[in-house]
Amino acid sequence: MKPQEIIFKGTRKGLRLVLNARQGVDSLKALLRQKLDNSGDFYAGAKVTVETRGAVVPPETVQEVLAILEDYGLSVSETEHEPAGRGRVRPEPSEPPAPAPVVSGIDPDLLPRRADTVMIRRTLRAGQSVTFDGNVLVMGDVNPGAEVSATGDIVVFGALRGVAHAGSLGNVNARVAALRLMPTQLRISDKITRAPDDEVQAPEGPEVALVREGSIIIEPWTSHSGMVFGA
Amino acid sequence: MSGTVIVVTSGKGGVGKTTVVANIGAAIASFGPKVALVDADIGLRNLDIVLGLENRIVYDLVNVVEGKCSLRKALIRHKKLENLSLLPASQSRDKSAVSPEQMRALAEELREEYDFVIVDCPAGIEQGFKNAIAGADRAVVVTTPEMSAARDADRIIGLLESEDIRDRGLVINRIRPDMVRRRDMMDVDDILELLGCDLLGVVPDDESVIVSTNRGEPVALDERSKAGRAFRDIASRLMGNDLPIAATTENEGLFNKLMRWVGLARG
Repeated sequence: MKPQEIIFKGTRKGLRLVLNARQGVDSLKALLRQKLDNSGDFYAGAKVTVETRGAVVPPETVQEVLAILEDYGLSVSETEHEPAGRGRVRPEPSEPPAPAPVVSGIDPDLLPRRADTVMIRRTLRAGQSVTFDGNVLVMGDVNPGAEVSATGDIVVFGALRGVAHAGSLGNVNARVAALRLMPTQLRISDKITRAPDDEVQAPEGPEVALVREGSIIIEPWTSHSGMVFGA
Repeated sequence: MSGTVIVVTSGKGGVGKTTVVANIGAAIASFGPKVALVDADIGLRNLDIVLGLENRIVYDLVNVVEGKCSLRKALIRHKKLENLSLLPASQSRDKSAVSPEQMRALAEELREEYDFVIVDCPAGIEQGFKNAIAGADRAVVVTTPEMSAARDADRIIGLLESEDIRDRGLVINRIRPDMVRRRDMMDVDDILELLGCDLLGVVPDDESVIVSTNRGEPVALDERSKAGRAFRDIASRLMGNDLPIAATTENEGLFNKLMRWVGLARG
Protein backbone atom coordinates (compact mmCIF):
# COMPACT_ATOMS: atom_id res chain seq x y z
CA MET A 1 0.00 0.00 0.00
CA LYS A 2 1.32 3.38 -0.90
CA PRO A 3 1.84 5.44 2.26
CA GLN A 4 -0.50 8.39 2.41
CA GLU A 5 1.30 11.64 2.06
CA ILE A 6 -1.22 13.80 3.84
CA ILE A 7 -3.12 12.57 6.86
CA PHE A 8 -5.47 14.38 9.18
CA LYS A 9 -5.52 12.75 12.59
CA GLY A 10 -7.90 13.53 15.41
CA THR A 11 -6.11 13.49 18.76
CA ARG A 12 -7.15 14.42 22.25
CA LYS A 13 -5.44 17.80 21.83
CA GLY A 14 -7.09 18.56 18.52
CA LEU A 15 -6.43 17.96 14.86
CA ARG A 16 -2.98 16.92 13.67
CA LEU A 17 -1.87 17.24 10.06
CA VAL A 18 0.92 14.85 9.10
CA LEU A 19 2.84 15.63 5.92
CA ASN A 20 5.06 12.86 4.58
CA ALA A 21 7.73 14.47 2.46
CA ARG A 22 9.33 11.25 1.24
CA GLN A 23 8.15 11.82 -2.33
CA GLY A 24 9.39 15.39 -2.33
CA VAL A 25 7.65 18.52 -1.22
CA ASP A 26 6.23 19.76 -4.51
CA SER A 27 3.25 17.43 -4.66
CA LEU A 28 2.30 18.20 -1.06
CA LYS A 29 0.65 21.56 -1.66
CA ALA A 30 -1.47 20.30 -4.53
CA LEU A 31 -2.50 17.23 -2.53
CA LEU A 32 -3.39 19.36 0.45
CA ARG A 33 -5.58 21.68 -1.60
CA GLN A 34 -7.23 18.70 -3.24
CA LYS A 35 -7.94 17.09 0.13
CA LEU A 36 -9.37 20.26 1.64
CA ASP A 37 -11.51 20.88 -1.45
CA ASN A 38 -12.95 17.40 -1.17
CA SER A 39 -13.91 17.86 2.47
CA GLY A 40 -15.97 21.02 1.98
CA ASP A 41 -15.92 23.13 5.12
CA PHE A 42 -15.57 20.09 7.41
CA TYR A 43 -12.24 21.30 8.77
CA ALA A 44 -13.15 25.00 8.94
CA GLY A 45 -12.48 26.53 12.34
CA ALA A 46 -10.40 23.57 13.51
CA LYS A 47 -7.14 24.00 15.42
CA VAL A 48 -4.38 21.99 13.85
CA THR A 49 -0.84 20.96 14.67
CA VAL A 50 1.30 20.45 11.57
CA GLU A 51 3.86 17.66 11.64
CA THR A 52 6.27 17.07 8.78
CA ARG A 53 8.05 13.75 8.31
CA GLY A 54 10.81 12.42 6.06
CA ALA A 55 12.90 14.87 4.04
CA VAL A 56 13.57 18.29 5.49
CA VAL A 57 10.82 20.61 4.34
CA PRO A 58 12.13 24.08 3.51
CA PRO A 59 10.72 26.84 5.69
CA GLU A 60 9.16 28.58 2.65
CA THR A 61 7.15 25.46 1.90
CA VAL A 62 6.00 25.27 5.51
CA GLN A 63 4.87 28.90 5.23
CA GLU A 64 2.99 28.08 2.04
CA VAL A 65 1.31 25.12 3.67
CA LEU A 66 0.24 27.28 6.60
CA ALA A 67 -1.18 29.88 4.20
CA ILE A 68 -3.21 27.18 2.46
CA LEU A 69 -4.59 25.97 5.79
CA GLU A 70 -5.57 29.48 6.76
CA ASP A 71 -7.30 29.94 3.40
CA TYR A 72 -9.53 27.04 4.35
CA GLY A 73 -10.34 28.45 7.78
CA LEU A 74 -8.04 26.29 9.92
CA SER A 75 -5.86 27.80 12.62
CA VAL A 76 -2.37 26.39 13.20
CA SER A 77 -1.25 25.98 16.79
CA GLU A 78 2.28 24.61 16.21
CA THR A 79 4.56 22.88 13.71
CA GLU A 80 6.84 19.93 14.33
CA HIS A 81 9.33 18.02 12.22
CA GLU A 82 10.06 14.33 12.50
CA PRO A 83 13.41 13.40 10.88
CA ALA A 84 13.39 10.48 8.47
CA GLY A 85 15.65 8.27 10.55
CA ARG A 86 13.33 7.89 13.50
CA GLY A 87 10.81 5.53 12.09
CA ARG A 88 7.59 6.28 10.36
CA VAL A 89 5.08 6.06 13.12
CA ARG A 90 5.49 7.79 16.42
CA PRO A 91 2.95 6.79 19.02
CA GLU A 92 1.05 9.64 20.62
CA PRO A 93 2.50 10.09 24.09
CA SER A 94 -0.96 10.40 25.64
CA GLU A 95 -2.40 7.43 23.77
CA PRO A 96 -0.15 4.38 23.87
CA PRO A 97 -1.19 1.72 21.38
CA ALA A 98 -3.73 -0.65 22.88
CA PRO A 99 -2.38 -4.18 23.31
CA ALA A 100 -4.03 -6.65 20.99
CA PRO A 101 -6.72 -8.59 22.85
CA VAL A 102 -5.90 -12.20 23.62
CA VAL A 103 -8.72 -14.22 22.18
CA SER A 104 -9.37 -17.87 22.71
CA GLY A 105 -12.51 -19.89 22.20
CA ILE A 106 -14.45 -17.04 20.64
CA ASP A 107 -14.78 -15.88 17.07
CA PRO A 108 -12.46 -12.84 16.87
CA ASP A 109 -14.90 -11.19 14.48
CA LEU A 110 -17.32 -10.83 17.36
CA LEU A 111 -14.94 -8.55 19.23
CA PRO A 112 -14.83 -4.82 18.68
CA ARG A 113 -12.20 -4.03 16.12
CA ARG A 114 -10.91 -0.96 17.87
CA ALA A 115 -11.18 0.88 21.15
CA ASP A 116 -14.48 2.51 20.34
CA THR A 117 -16.17 2.56 23.72
CA VAL A 118 -16.23 5.43 26.15
CA MET A 119 -16.78 4.77 29.84
CA ILE A 120 -18.63 7.31 31.98
CA ARG A 121 -17.91 6.62 35.64
CA ARG A 122 -20.58 8.80 37.19
CA THR A 123 -24.28 9.40 37.27
CA LEU A 124 -25.63 11.57 34.49
CA ARG A 125 -28.04 14.07 35.99
CA ALA A 126 -30.83 16.17 34.50
CA GLY A 127 -29.46 18.50 31.84
CA GLN A 128 -26.28 16.48 31.25
CA SER A 129 -25.71 14.54 28.07
CA VAL A 130 -23.16 12.32 26.35
CA THR A 131 -22.87 11.95 22.61
CA PHE A 132 -20.26 9.57 21.22
CA ASP A 133 -19.27 7.97 17.95
CA GLY A 134 -19.01 4.43 19.29
CA ASN A 135 -20.37 2.58 22.30
CA VAL A 136 -21.16 4.22 25.63
CA LEU A 137 -20.83 2.44 28.97
CA VAL A 138 -22.18 4.30 32.00
CA MET A 139 -21.18 3.09 35.44
CA GLY A 140 -23.86 4.95 37.33
CA ASP A 141 -27.41 6.04 36.64
CA VAL A 142 -28.84 8.05 33.77
CA ASN A 143 -31.42 10.22 35.51
CA PRO A 144 -34.59 11.67 33.98
CA GLY A 145 -33.68 14.72 31.91
CA ALA A 146 -30.24 13.29 31.00
CA GLU A 147 -29.49 11.96 27.52
CA VAL A 148 -27.06 9.43 26.09
CA SER A 149 -26.57 9.15 22.34
CA ALA A 150 -24.20 6.65 20.71
CA THR A 151 -23.64 5.44 17.17
CA GLY A 152 -23.13 2.00 18.72
CA ASP A 153 -24.52 0.32 21.81
CA ILE A 154 -25.39 1.80 25.20
CA VAL A 155 -24.90 -0.12 28.43
CA VAL A 156 -25.89 1.38 31.77
CA PHE A 157 -24.62 -0.32 34.91
CA GLY A 158 -27.29 1.37 36.96
CA ALA A 159 -30.78 2.71 36.36
CA LEU A 160 -31.55 4.20 32.95
CA ARG A 161 -34.38 6.68 33.52
CA GLY A 162 -33.49 9.34 30.96
CA VAL A 163 -33.35 9.24 27.16
CA ALA A 164 -31.07 6.82 25.30
CA HIS A 165 -30.41 6.77 21.57
CA ALA A 166 -28.35 3.83 20.31
CA GLY A 167 -27.29 3.41 16.69
CA SER A 168 -27.87 7.11 16.26
CA LEU A 169 -26.43 7.15 12.73
CA GLY A 170 -28.71 4.39 11.54
CA ASN A 171 -27.42 1.12 12.98
CA VAL A 172 -30.60 -0.90 13.65
CA ASN A 173 -28.56 -3.68 15.26
CA ALA A 174 -27.54 -1.40 18.13
CA ARG A 175 -28.85 -2.25 21.58
CA VAL A 176 -29.51 -0.56 24.88
CA ALA A 177 -29.01 -2.54 28.07
CA ALA A 178 -29.36 -1.47 31.69
CA LEU A 179 -29.51 -3.06 35.11
CA ARG A 180 -32.80 -1.19 35.49
CA LEU A 181 -34.19 -0.21 32.15
CA MET A 182 -36.93 2.36 32.75
CA PRO A 183 -36.18 5.11 30.23
CA THR A 184 -38.28 8.18 29.53
CA GLN A 185 -37.72 7.49 25.87
CA LEU A 186 -35.71 4.94 23.94
CA ARG A 187 -34.43 5.33 20.41
CA ILE A 188 -32.61 2.80 18.30
CA SER A 189 -31.60 4.01 14.86
CA ASP A 190 -34.75 5.80 13.64
CA LYS A 191 -37.16 3.84 15.87
CA ILE A 192 -38.62 5.59 18.88
CA THR A 193 -40.50 4.21 21.84
CA ARG A 194 -41.51 5.82 25.10
CA ALA A 195 -42.47 4.82 28.62
CA PRO A 196 -46.12 3.92 29.09
CA ASP A 197 -48.23 6.80 30.41
CA ASP A 198 -49.50 4.91 33.45
CA GLU A 199 -47.24 4.06 36.35
CA VAL A 200 -44.24 1.99 35.37
CA GLN A 201 -43.42 -1.14 37.30
CA ALA A 202 -39.75 -1.30 38.15
CA PRO A 203 -38.15 -4.11 36.15
CA GLU A 204 -37.18 -7.24 38.03
CA GLY A 205 -33.68 -7.45 36.63
CA PRO A 206 -31.38 -6.27 33.86
CA GLU A 207 -33.02 -5.84 30.48
CA VAL A 208 -31.97 -5.17 26.93
CA ALA A 209 -33.77 -3.28 24.20
CA LEU A 210 -33.32 -4.14 20.54
CA VAL A 211 -35.10 -3.81 17.22
CA ARG A 212 -36.95 -6.87 16.01
CA GLU A 213 -39.30 -6.86 13.01
CA GLY A 214 -39.18 -3.11 12.78
CA SER A 215 -40.02 -2.19 16.35
CA ILE A 216 -38.18 -1.86 19.63
CA ILE A 217 -38.68 -4.75 22.01
CA ILE A 218 -37.38 -5.26 25.54
CA GLU A 219 -36.14 -8.60 26.82
CA PRO A 220 -34.65 -9.77 30.08
CA TRP A 221 -30.89 -9.58 29.84
CA THR A 222 -29.72 -13.02 30.88
CA SER A 223 -26.48 -14.84 30.40
CA HIS A 224 -28.19 -17.26 27.98
CA SER A 225 -29.70 -14.55 25.81
CA GLY A 226 -26.35 -14.89 24.06
CA MET A 227 -25.85 -11.27 23.20
CA VAL A 228 -22.48 -9.84 22.52
CA PHE A 229 -21.97 -6.13 22.56
CA GLY A 230 -19.94 -4.42 19.90
CA ALA A 231 -20.36 -7.28 17.47
CA MET B 1 -10.95 30.24 63.15
CA SER B 2 -12.94 30.77 60.02
CA GLY B 3 -16.60 29.86 59.62
CA THR B 4 -18.41 27.63 57.16
CA VAL B 5 -20.24 29.09 54.16
CA ILE B 6 -23.38 27.15 53.24
CA VAL B 7 -25.51 27.88 50.19
CA VAL B 8 -29.16 26.84 50.25
CA THR B 9 -30.39 26.19 46.73
CA SER B 10 -33.09 24.29 44.82
CA GLY B 11 -33.34 25.23 41.18
CA LYS B 12 -37.12 25.34 41.32
CA GLY B 13 -38.86 28.25 42.99
CA GLY B 14 -41.41 27.97 45.74
CA VAL B 15 -40.02 24.87 47.43
CA GLY B 16 -39.16 26.75 50.61
CA LYS B 17 -35.52 27.83 50.30
CA THR B 18 -36.04 31.08 52.16
CA THR B 19 -38.00 29.34 54.92
CA VAL B 20 -35.23 26.75 55.26
CA VAL B 21 -32.55 29.47 55.44
CA ALA B 22 -34.43 31.46 58.07
CA ASN B 23 -35.16 28.41 60.18
CA ILE B 24 -31.85 26.59 60.13
CA GLY B 25 -30.19 29.97 60.69
CA ALA B 26 -32.39 30.71 63.70
CA ALA B 27 -31.95 27.18 65.06
CA ILE B 28 -28.15 27.21 64.79
CA ALA B 29 -28.01 30.67 66.39
CA SER B 30 -30.26 29.46 69.23
CA PHE B 31 -27.73 26.66 69.87
CA GLY B 32 -24.92 29.17 70.33
CA PRO B 33 -22.80 29.71 67.19
CA LYS B 34 -22.78 33.08 65.44
CA VAL B 35 -24.76 33.00 62.19
CA ALA B 36 -24.97 35.45 59.29
CA LEU B 37 -27.74 35.03 56.72
CA VAL B 38 -27.16 36.47 53.26
CA ASP B 39 -30.10 37.10 50.94
CA ALA B 40 -28.60 36.62 47.48
CA ASP B 41 -31.97 36.90 45.77
CA ILE B 42 -31.27 40.42 44.61
CA GLY B 43 -34.35 42.18 43.30
CA LEU B 44 -36.79 39.82 45.04
CA ARG B 45 -36.06 40.50 48.67
CA ASN B 46 -37.77 38.00 50.98
CA LEU B 47 -35.61 36.73 53.78
CA ASP B 48 -36.02 39.91 55.82
CA ILE B 49 -39.81 39.47 55.82
CA VAL B 50 -39.64 35.86 56.99
CA LEU B 51 -37.36 36.99 59.81
CA GLY B 52 -39.55 39.99 60.63
CA LEU B 53 -36.73 42.47 60.00
CA GLU B 54 -38.03 44.38 56.97
CA ASN B 55 -38.54 47.66 58.79
CA ARG B 56 -34.91 47.79 59.96
CA ILE B 57 -33.22 47.72 56.54
CA VAL B 58 -31.10 50.76 55.75
CA TYR B 59 -28.30 49.34 53.60
CA ASP B 60 -28.20 46.16 51.52
CA LEU B 61 -25.85 43.69 49.88
CA VAL B 62 -25.41 45.75 46.72
CA ASN B 63 -24.46 48.83 48.78
CA VAL B 64 -21.79 46.73 50.48
CA VAL B 65 -20.22 45.27 47.33
CA GLU B 66 -20.25 48.69 45.71
CA GLY B 67 -18.39 50.05 48.71
CA LYS B 68 -21.15 52.50 49.66
CA CYS B 69 -21.21 51.25 53.23
CA SER B 70 -19.31 48.86 55.46
CA LEU B 71 -20.43 45.28 55.89
CA ARG B 72 -20.89 45.81 59.61
CA LYS B 73 -23.28 48.68 58.98
CA ALA B 74 -25.48 46.71 56.58
CA LEU B 75 -25.88 43.66 58.82
CA ILE B 76 -29.10 43.63 60.84
CA ARG B 77 -29.20 41.82 64.16
CA HIS B 78 -32.26 39.67 64.84
CA LYS B 79 -34.57 41.10 67.49
CA LYS B 80 -34.67 37.91 69.59
CA LEU B 81 -31.51 36.02 68.69
CA GLU B 82 -28.45 38.12 69.23
CA ASN B 83 -26.23 35.56 67.44
CA LEU B 84 -28.27 35.89 64.25
CA SER B 85 -27.63 38.63 61.67
CA LEU B 86 -29.02 39.30 58.21
CA LEU B 87 -27.44 40.89 55.18
CA PRO B 88 -30.54 41.84 53.14
CA ALA B 89 -30.82 41.80 49.37
CA SER B 90 -31.40 44.94 47.37
CA GLN B 91 -34.97 45.46 46.26
CA SER B 92 -34.32 47.91 43.46
CA ARG B 93 -31.38 46.31 41.65
CA ASP B 94 -31.07 42.94 39.90
CA LYS B 95 -28.75 39.93 39.82
CA SER B 96 -26.30 41.54 37.42
CA ALA B 97 -25.42 44.16 40.04
CA VAL B 98 -23.11 41.63 41.69
CA SER B 99 -20.38 39.31 40.35
CA PRO B 100 -19.28 35.90 41.67
CA GLU B 101 -15.90 37.40 42.64
CA GLN B 102 -17.61 40.05 44.76
CA MET B 103 -19.77 37.41 46.43
CA ARG B 104 -16.69 35.29 47.14
CA ALA B 105 -14.99 38.27 48.76
CA LEU B 106 -18.10 39.01 50.79
CA ALA B 107 -18.29 35.41 52.03
CA GLU B 108 -14.61 35.54 52.99
CA GLU B 109 -15.18 38.69 55.01
CA LEU B 110 -18.25 37.25 56.76
CA ARG B 111 -16.60 33.95 57.71
CA GLU B 112 -13.95 35.84 59.63
CA GLU B 113 -16.62 37.04 62.01
CA TYR B 114 -19.29 34.32 61.95
CA ASP B 115 -19.28 30.55 62.55
CA PHE B 116 -21.91 29.93 59.86
CA VAL B 117 -22.67 32.03 56.81
CA ILE B 118 -25.88 30.83 55.14
CA VAL B 119 -26.63 32.12 51.65
CA ASP B 120 -30.20 32.13 50.31
CA CYS B 121 -29.86 31.36 46.60
CA PRO B 122 -32.43 32.62 44.07
CA ALA B 123 -34.40 30.12 41.96
CA GLY B 124 -32.96 29.32 38.56
CA ILE B 125 -29.50 28.40 37.31
CA GLU B 126 -28.38 31.72 35.88
CA GLN B 127 -26.32 34.63 37.19
CA GLY B 128 -28.01 34.71 40.61
CA PHE B 129 -27.24 31.03 41.17
CA LYS B 130 -23.62 31.48 40.10
CA ASN B 131 -23.28 34.42 42.49
CA ALA B 132 -24.81 32.56 45.41
CA ILE B 133 -22.62 29.47 45.13
CA ALA B 134 -19.41 31.40 44.47
CA GLY B 135 -18.01 31.38 47.98
CA ALA B 136 -19.73 28.27 49.35
CA ASP B 137 -17.97 25.36 51.08
CA ARG B 138 -21.07 23.22 51.16
CA ALA B 139 -24.59 23.18 49.81
CA VAL B 140 -28.04 22.37 51.11
CA VAL B 141 -30.34 21.32 48.28
CA VAL B 142 -34.03 21.81 49.01
CA THR B 143 -36.72 19.86 47.21
CA THR B 144 -40.36 18.93 47.73
CA PRO B 145 -41.83 15.49 46.99
CA GLU B 146 -42.84 16.41 43.45
CA MET B 147 -41.29 15.20 40.21
CA SER B 148 -40.70 18.72 38.92
CA ALA B 149 -38.87 19.81 42.09
CA ALA B 150 -36.84 16.60 42.23
CA ARG B 151 -35.85 17.04 38.59
CA ASP B 152 -34.59 20.55 39.23
CA ALA B 153 -32.76 19.38 42.34
CA ASP B 154 -31.03 16.76 40.20
CA ARG B 155 -29.96 19.44 37.73
CA ILE B 156 -28.68 21.60 40.58
CA ILE B 157 -26.69 18.73 42.08
CA GLY B 158 -25.10 18.21 38.66
CA LEU B 159 -24.13 21.89 38.53
CA LEU B 160 -22.76 21.79 42.08
CA GLU B 161 -20.69 18.74 41.09
CA SER B 162 -19.18 20.64 38.21
CA GLU B 163 -18.39 23.55 40.54
CA ASP B 164 -16.68 21.00 42.79
CA ILE B 165 -18.94 21.61 45.80
CA ARG B 166 -18.77 18.08 47.16
CA ASP B 167 -20.44 18.44 50.52
CA ARG B 168 -24.11 18.39 49.57
CA GLY B 169 -27.05 17.61 51.84
CA LEU B 170 -30.66 17.21 50.82
CA VAL B 171 -33.66 18.67 52.64
CA ILE B 172 -37.03 17.28 51.61
CA ASN B 173 -39.59 19.92 52.47
CA ARG B 174 -43.37 19.67 52.84
CA ILE B 175 -43.72 15.91 53.12
CA ARG B 176 -47.29 14.82 53.88
CA PRO B 177 -47.08 11.52 55.72
CA ASP B 178 -50.74 10.68 55.06
CA MET B 179 -50.27 11.13 51.30
CA VAL B 180 -47.05 9.12 51.33
CA ARG B 181 -48.85 6.30 53.11
CA ARG B 182 -51.58 6.31 50.48
CA ARG B 183 -48.80 6.17 47.84
CA ASP B 184 -50.08 9.49 46.46
CA MET B 185 -46.77 11.25 47.08
CA MET B 186 -43.15 10.34 46.36
CA ASP B 187 -41.61 9.04 49.53
CA VAL B 188 -38.18 9.81 50.92
CA ASP B 189 -36.64 6.62 49.53
CA ASP B 190 -37.91 7.35 46.00
CA ILE B 191 -36.30 10.78 46.10
CA LEU B 192 -33.04 9.60 47.60
CA GLU B 193 -32.73 6.80 45.08
CA LEU B 194 -33.15 9.27 42.25
CA LEU B 195 -30.87 11.97 43.59
CA GLY B 196 -28.18 9.86 45.22
CA CYS B 197 -27.45 12.55 47.79
CA ASP B 198 -26.98 12.54 51.58
CA LEU B 199 -30.21 13.27 53.45
CA LEU B 200 -29.98 16.16 55.87
CA GLY B 201 -33.60 16.12 56.98
CA VAL B 202 -37.26 15.79 56.17
CA VAL B 203 -39.66 18.62 57.04
CA PRO B 204 -43.35 17.77 57.34
CA ASP B 205 -45.94 20.03 55.73
CA ASP B 206 -47.15 22.05 58.69
CA GLU B 207 -49.55 25.00 58.96
CA SER B 208 -47.47 26.49 61.73
CA VAL B 209 -44.77 27.28 59.12
CA ILE B 210 -47.11 29.60 57.22
CA VAL B 211 -48.36 31.23 60.41
CA SER B 212 -44.85 31.87 61.72
CA THR B 213 -43.57 33.04 58.32
CA ASN B 214 -46.29 35.66 58.14
CA ARG B 215 -45.53 36.76 61.68
CA GLY B 216 -41.82 36.96 61.03
CA GLU B 217 -40.96 34.51 63.78
CA PRO B 218 -39.00 31.45 62.67
CA VAL B 219 -40.95 28.25 63.39
CA ALA B 220 -37.69 26.62 64.49
CA LEU B 221 -38.05 28.52 67.76
CA ASP B 222 -41.48 26.98 68.38
CA GLU B 223 -41.00 23.96 70.64
CA ARG B 224 -44.39 22.43 69.81
CA SER B 225 -44.20 22.56 66.02
CA LYS B 226 -43.19 19.37 64.16
CA ALA B 227 -41.66 21.38 61.34
CA GLY B 228 -39.81 23.42 63.93
CA ARG B 229 -38.33 20.27 65.40
CA ALA B 230 -37.31 19.05 61.94
CA PHE B 231 -35.49 22.36 61.33
CA ARG B 232 -33.71 22.14 64.68
CA ASP B 233 -32.59 18.61 63.79
CA ILE B 234 -31.26 19.79 60.42
CA ALA B 235 -29.41 22.62 62.14
CA SER B 236 -27.89 20.19 64.58
CA ARG B 237 -26.75 17.90 61.75
CA LEU B 238 -25.17 20.86 59.97
CA MET B 239 -23.24 21.53 63.17
CA GLY B 240 -21.83 18.03 62.90
CA ASN B 241 -24.12 16.07 65.22
CA ASP B 242 -25.26 12.66 64.07
CA LEU B 243 -29.01 12.45 64.70
CA PRO B 244 -31.27 9.74 63.31
CA ILE B 245 -33.77 10.93 60.70
CA ALA B 246 -37.22 10.84 62.32
CA ALA B 247 -39.75 8.58 60.67
CA THR B 248 -42.11 10.42 58.35
CA THR B 249 -45.16 8.56 59.62
CA GLU B 250 -45.62 10.85 62.59
CA ASN B 251 -49.25 11.87 62.68
CA GLU B 252 -50.61 8.38 62.28
CA GLY B 253 -52.69 8.53 65.45
CA LEU B 254 -52.26 7.02 68.83
CA PHE B 255 -54.09 3.79 68.08
CA ASN B 256 -51.85 2.80 65.19
CA LYS B 257 -48.78 3.79 67.16
CA LEU B 258 -49.81 1.51 69.99
CA MET B 259 -50.58 -1.31 67.59
CA ARG B 260 -47.14 -0.88 66.07
CA TRP B 261 -45.49 -0.96 69.44
CA VAL B 262 -47.09 -4.24 70.27
CA GLY B 263 -46.28 -5.50 66.81
CA LEU B 264 -49.79 -5.82 65.38
CA ALA B 265 -49.56 -3.28 62.61
CA ARG B 266 -46.76 -2.63 60.23
CA GLY B 267 -45.40 0.88 59.82
